[in-house]
Amino acid sequence: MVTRMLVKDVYGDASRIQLKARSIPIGDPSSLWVDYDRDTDSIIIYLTGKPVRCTSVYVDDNIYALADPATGDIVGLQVDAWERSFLPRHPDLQLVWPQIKKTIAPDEGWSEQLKVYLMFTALVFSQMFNAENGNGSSVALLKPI
Amino acid sequence: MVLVLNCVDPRGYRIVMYSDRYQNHIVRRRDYITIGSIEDTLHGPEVITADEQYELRENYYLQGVMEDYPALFLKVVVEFGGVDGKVITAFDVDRPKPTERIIWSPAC
Repeated sequence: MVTRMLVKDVYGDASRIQLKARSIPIGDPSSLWVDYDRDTDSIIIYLTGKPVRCTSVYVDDNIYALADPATGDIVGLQVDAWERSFLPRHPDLQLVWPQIKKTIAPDEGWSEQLKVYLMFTALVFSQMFNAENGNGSSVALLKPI
Repeated sequence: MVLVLNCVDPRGYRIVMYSDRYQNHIVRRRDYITIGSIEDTLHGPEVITADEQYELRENYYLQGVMEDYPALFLKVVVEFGGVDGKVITAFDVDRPKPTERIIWSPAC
């Protein structure tokens, strides 16, 4: 049966985890673990140097914060609809993307060039996204060191 | 390609998952997601939603399958482009994506 109901009509809209901001380690690509998946058109960035236990907390516009489910500490970012939705809204990033994409081995999902590119993409996130925390006030998800 | 999952959802749709998708995408990003938790979610979801980006994809959600954090939901994305549905990705979330449209739930 097809319904007209949205998820938020049943489950609400608010995050169930209170997110805590994290600094972006500018200038140190080794601190990033990144992956681009063509089938899902999704980017994932771990700011911890490698994947760690986390959960995806939806923020907005196909963007999830990756957070420690116990503490809410942000450990990374996940962007769905990367080419379909995110890049068309960010022309500067879209301009460079074709060259970056060529460096990504299909079976590996990453390259050193992708790491550097996404480090600066994370800075864009830090400037554009705020998230409502449990108290209704705003907290920046990411901040440059 | 090696088949690692072959199950039926509550609507009677058959869904499969191949080892390369599980190992090279799901486990590479999140090594704690098990085939069993994906199967539980497909077999008995709490809600199924329409994907917002891909017309042929549907999202299955089930709470309680992550043993270390039972409050979380597992989200499994399935594409129905062929004879069987095919698992595209799976990851845990704090809640189902608020803007997705519900196409099935046990109450429907």
